[in-house]
Amino acid sequence: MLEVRDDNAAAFEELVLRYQDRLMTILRHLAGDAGQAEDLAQEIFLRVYRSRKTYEPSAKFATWFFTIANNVVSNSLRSRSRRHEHTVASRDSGPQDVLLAASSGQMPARLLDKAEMREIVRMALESIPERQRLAVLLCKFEGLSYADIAAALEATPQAVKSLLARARINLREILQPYYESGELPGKNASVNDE
Amino acid sequence: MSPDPATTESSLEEQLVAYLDGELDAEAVRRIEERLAAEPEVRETLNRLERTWEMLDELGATPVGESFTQTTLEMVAVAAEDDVRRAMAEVPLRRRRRWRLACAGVFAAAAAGFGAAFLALPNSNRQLLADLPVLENLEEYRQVDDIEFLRLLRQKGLSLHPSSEPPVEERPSLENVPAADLASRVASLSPGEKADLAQKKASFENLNRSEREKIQRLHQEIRNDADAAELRRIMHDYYLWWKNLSPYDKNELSSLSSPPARIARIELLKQEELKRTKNLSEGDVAALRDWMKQYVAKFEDRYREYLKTLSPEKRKAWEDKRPEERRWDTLRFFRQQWQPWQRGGNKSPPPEELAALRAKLSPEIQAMLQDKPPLEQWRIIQGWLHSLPRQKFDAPGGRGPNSLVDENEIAEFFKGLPREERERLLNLPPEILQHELQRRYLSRMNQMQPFVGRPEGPFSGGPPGPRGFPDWRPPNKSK
Repeated sequence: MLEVRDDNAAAFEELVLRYQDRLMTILRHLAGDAGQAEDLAQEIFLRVYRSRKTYEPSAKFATWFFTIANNVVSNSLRSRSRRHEHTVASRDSGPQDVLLAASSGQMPARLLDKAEMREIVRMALESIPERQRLAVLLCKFEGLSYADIAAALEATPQAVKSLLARARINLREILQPYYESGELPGKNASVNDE
Repeated sequence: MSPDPATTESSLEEQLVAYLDGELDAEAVRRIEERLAAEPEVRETLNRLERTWEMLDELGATPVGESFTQTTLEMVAVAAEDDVRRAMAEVPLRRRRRWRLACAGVFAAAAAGFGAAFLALPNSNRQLLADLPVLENLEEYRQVDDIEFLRLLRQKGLSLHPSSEPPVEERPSLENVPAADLASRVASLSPGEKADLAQKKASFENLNRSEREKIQRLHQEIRNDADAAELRRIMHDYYLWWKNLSPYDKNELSSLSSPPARIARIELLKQEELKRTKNLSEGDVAALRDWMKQYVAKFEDRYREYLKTLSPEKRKAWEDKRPEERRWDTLRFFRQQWQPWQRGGNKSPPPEELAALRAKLSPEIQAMLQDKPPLEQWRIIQGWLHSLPRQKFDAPGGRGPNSLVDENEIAEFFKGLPREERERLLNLPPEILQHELQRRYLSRMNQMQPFVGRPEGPFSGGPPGPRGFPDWRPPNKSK
């Protein structure tokens, strides 16, 4: 990042290559569909480029990077909310689609379990509030500490601790029936807001 | 131990989650573990939380689409160009129009902000002209950092000049040039050159004060040195060599502040570079050479498009060159384009071209490349294309391994030499003849300056003969 700050274009390309999949993994679960996630990802990299001169070596890069990501995502979601846009998630398949494929014999049983599980977990994650979701994604997939997540979300570490606890409680409530008895998560599963 | 009555259920789960994430202090860990040991319900809650967390692993990574990287970099390139245009257009439009009208008879038409009479320029452009001598070599100054480093490079005689790069022409000094003439010079730049200059200006202004002063000080020290021209040439060679390093090696070099430590690192990197080229077989070198030729021939149209942006004189000069000279010019153009990041987007060879080249290399070299990311593979190949033509001359006795020079072209080059020159060369021992002929060929193609600290070959009448042949002397022609 220091090289990017000093206008080294090759370093910027390497940064994009190193972070694009990681960023996409997080955004995919925040944005609702892959297209919007890619748009957000590009917006974030553009913002990183424009902000490169503000980067201080004392800051952990991942924290700085995901702070920018959080700002871009928050602004985007706020704009969409103001415009009353409803995201139509273009998913490859939902839990019902997966079960339909299974009943038609199109999907082998072992793949069905994996695909079903993945879809259910994704649905559970996307049903919790965005801020909780982002905290979970940064903790799980980026391995950020509570302090780093707090910096990225512009919150306190204690707030992040509470956020993550509520998120995991919500996820547990949605997923517990599934992993205990194979029961699909209900549409009306209640979720603790932040 | 009995549960802490003050701990609510949600507070307990908060502690359990933080415990799973390793975020509790030692005392809190101790308290939780006491409860886990004593209370099955707490253990059950922990297990469920852990199970839920593990289920998130099912999500897996979501890789980006195929064109994501390319479109992202192009988008940022466009943004960068917009920034430069905005920097250039910082002078209000009305004032620019007045200047153009006022100065139409004095200066050639120019892009906004730079073509006006000096006195009418706002402070920012006046400052630009004052900083121009520094800005022209800004990136080089930033990498060199210290005149002692340059002096040590010269003392060590490290040859960093990339033989496939254009020669370092001694530019007329911009010092003490009247401001109006400087303004005229800037006005005559092409739009691309103006954009580059504006970007350098922005980069310089973004440095903190002590960094700017350091660069200006370095500029003055070089200017005042008795060997200013040579130091500038060494600085330019170093910068071109440095640009081709991997980010890792660049970072390593940047972290070394003392000139001797940097020199030692450079020597190590040069040795590694040499080792890499030594691993190439005759077949590999032939494959690289043939691929280069075919690539240049296949994509020559791109170079012709670039030629259209040059002046008619430069276009004619290129057309008048011999085929092999045109090929080297075109190759140099692509070498610039092949830098990972160029204005207008990434123009490195398409993946299928690189795959075709790899398929022609020896199994050992293919095995060496195959585990590396594509960008790293291309960087290594670029390194070969960069260093091989010169490497023969760096090796002791000039008997280095292979060169990218085509023997047939050298034969044609020899035939084109004046008769006297041919006779002198033929009087040389065969291996020295070969060496000297290739050196002259490359000099002609690249208009190379003499090697650092060494005079021309055996015909200059100076000290010992061609590089690497310290014991050879020209035949005594006295009668």
